[in-house]
Amino acid sequence: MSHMIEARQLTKRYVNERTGREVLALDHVDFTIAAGEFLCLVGPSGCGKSTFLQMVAGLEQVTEGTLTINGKPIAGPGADRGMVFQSYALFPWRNVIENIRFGLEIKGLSKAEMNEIAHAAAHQVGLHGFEHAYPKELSGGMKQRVGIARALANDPPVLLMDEPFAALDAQTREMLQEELLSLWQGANRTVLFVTHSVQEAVYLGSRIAIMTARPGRIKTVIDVGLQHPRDITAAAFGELMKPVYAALKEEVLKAAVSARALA
Amino acid sequence: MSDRPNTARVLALGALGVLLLIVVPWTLAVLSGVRPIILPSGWQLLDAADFLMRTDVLLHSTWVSLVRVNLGFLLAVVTAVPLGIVLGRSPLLFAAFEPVVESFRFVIPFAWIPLAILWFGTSEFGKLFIIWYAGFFVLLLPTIEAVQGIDKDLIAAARTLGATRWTIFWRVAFPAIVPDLLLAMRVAFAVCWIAILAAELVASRAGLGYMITDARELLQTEVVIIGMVVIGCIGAIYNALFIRLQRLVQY
Amino acid sequence: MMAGSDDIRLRPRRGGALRPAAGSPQSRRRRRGAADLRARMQALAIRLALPLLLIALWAVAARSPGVAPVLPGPAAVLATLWQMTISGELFVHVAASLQRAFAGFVVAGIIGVAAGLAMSQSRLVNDILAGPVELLRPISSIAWIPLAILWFGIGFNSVVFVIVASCIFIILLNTLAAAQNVDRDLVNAALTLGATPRQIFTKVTVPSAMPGIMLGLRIAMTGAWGGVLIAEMIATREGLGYMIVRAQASYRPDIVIGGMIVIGFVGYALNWLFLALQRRITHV
Repeated sequence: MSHMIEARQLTKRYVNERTGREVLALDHVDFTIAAGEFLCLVGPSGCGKSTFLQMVAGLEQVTEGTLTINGKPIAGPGADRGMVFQSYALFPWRNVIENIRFGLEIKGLSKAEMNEIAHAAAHQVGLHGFEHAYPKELSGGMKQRVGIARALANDPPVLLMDEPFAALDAQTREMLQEELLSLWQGANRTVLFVTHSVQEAVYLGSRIAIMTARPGRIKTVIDVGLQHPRDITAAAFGELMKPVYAALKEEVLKAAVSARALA
Repeated sequence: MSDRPNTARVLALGALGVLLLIVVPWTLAVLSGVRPIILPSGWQLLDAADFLMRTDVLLHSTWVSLVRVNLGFLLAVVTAVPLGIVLGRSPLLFAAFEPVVESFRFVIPFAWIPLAILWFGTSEFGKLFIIWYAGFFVLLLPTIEAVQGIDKDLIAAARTLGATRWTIFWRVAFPAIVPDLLLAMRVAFAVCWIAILAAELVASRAGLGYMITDARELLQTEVVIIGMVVIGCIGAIYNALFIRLQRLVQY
Repeated sequence: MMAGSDDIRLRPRRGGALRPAAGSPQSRRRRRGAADLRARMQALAIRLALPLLLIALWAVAARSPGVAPVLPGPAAVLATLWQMTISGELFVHVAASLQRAFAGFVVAGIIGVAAGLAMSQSRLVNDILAGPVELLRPISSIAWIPLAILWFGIGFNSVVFVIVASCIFIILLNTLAAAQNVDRDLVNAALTLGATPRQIFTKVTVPSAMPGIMLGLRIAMTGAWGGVLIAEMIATREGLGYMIVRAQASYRPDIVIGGMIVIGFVGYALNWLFLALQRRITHV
């Protein structure tokens, strides 16, 4: 398997605007993500998992070390890495199709091409019949479908997802998880999925990377050997969740202790 | 946005902007021989300021305007806020008052000036009426909205803790609307300040509005500009005071 | 007065669960329809009561000897308005006022939005313009009137100048705030979809700031309408402001009150038109 995304001694420091104190968010992270894999990144809140994702997206600068995609250093955001946001980040003044079309407009496609691709993407995520609705008229689940379709319309080799289902209710979340899996299985696409839910990570990921409390490092990486579709009620599923839970819990406690020490 | 604001830089560039966009064009205009009636020079302004201070015209005008605006504003507060609280609490009374409030809201305060003259002449009462009217609606609607917007769970929580109606009003509802009230008062005062100047401009023998319109008739542009500066300063000072108050009650 | 008043509801509660079901669903629906109609009539009556009472009070007061000379009754005012409408005099004044308000509003709108957007995009522009803006902003529009007359004389230019002064800062500051507060995630989303800084500005910043800009324009429009009236009272020979001031001087309270009604009506219509326009443009 070839390396799609590779971090070598990746370090991120930034200055907290409110306190003026320097924060070490990521500390010499070594990590690779293979082409076509579905990697779930879990960790206690504030551990830098979102920072890592934003750096891969090119939205945050690298402080030290290297971060490459297909062997080339990431210099900034680009259409080769689609991103899905927890807040959906839909343009409220554009309807569903116009939202999905955004990246295609940037590419400068013809109107006919844009509409064809956008409608196909809308159809693919189950937005048929909602093409002309505006975001404020949609439920959270439908909004995130638009967010996914918008990222997919650009056909990026890498899909970055920042806790995309965290704000949804349980039923909607399960439905979208399943749909996301079938979208991923169809295409040879690399997914980097940040979540704080162990069950979500075990349900979706081919591998799960667990990060330490701040400063963030990769604590362990666990291979999920289960075939899709996975049964969350199966004993094997529960067995797989145990080590992830244990590792995560240790880090959450550490984060709580250091937070108390700071306060 | 990302780097912290550098106060010295902001002040320096702000001063540069004032210099480039106001001082330099003004100086050039004066040097190129524009008549003092259009733009007086800095010296002429200082002379006029000196004269105004010695004759106490400026102080007296400022005093008159300040007394009027404060009285009118207070009158607006003590009438609009209680009515707003009542209307905010009672859907029935709100429905009854809304059409009247909505209609009068669009009859801007300036439109009342001629009628106020007809009714009250150029007496103080007419001016107070204009200021009160200007402030009243600006205060009333936000007060109603603030009361209607009080978190129902907050009231319910207080009730389950055994609070009486009176306690709920003073300890829960009133503190909840104070920030909105202060914001409304800040806006209302600014509107009152505009209204008194307008009334003085059209129908008065005293006050800052009268002073600048009188100076205009006498072609004393220096006095007009000094009056504008004083008007601006008073507006800014009150604005800053209200912002201070608002900060005090930000929870 | 306050106690218990919040228990009165203008509409009956729907679907009372405790009431035993009577008759077929259809008849129940009809009965509820009748109750709804009654509730609606009741609500209408409540809304109309106070305005009618005020008009009645006005009519009675206008008949009392002490007040009559300065307060013509509603009928007299309407008659005057009607006469001025037929003679076309009213139209001349309304048109003059609207024309000036519109001219000043457009000038202030173009300068204010352009400057606000420029300030939102560049730290340097922002810091340089902030000085003059903060210096001139507190000077109320009214205070500019004497200076405007000294500069431009009595007439159109003076009035337009005062209107620009009365609305430009509201427009500028609302534009600036709206363009600075664009949701960071929206910008990030556009970036990850491949947008350039210029595309971010045209495709994200401007449309995202649109509701804020429109709000500023709408507040400014009310300011422009006020500005035109007060400026016309002093610095012109026609327009609604001039009309009511002249009527006051020539002791015609009917024209003064009629003019006030027209002023309120035009203000209301402008606000309504603007809201309709805003809904069409922003979708938010």
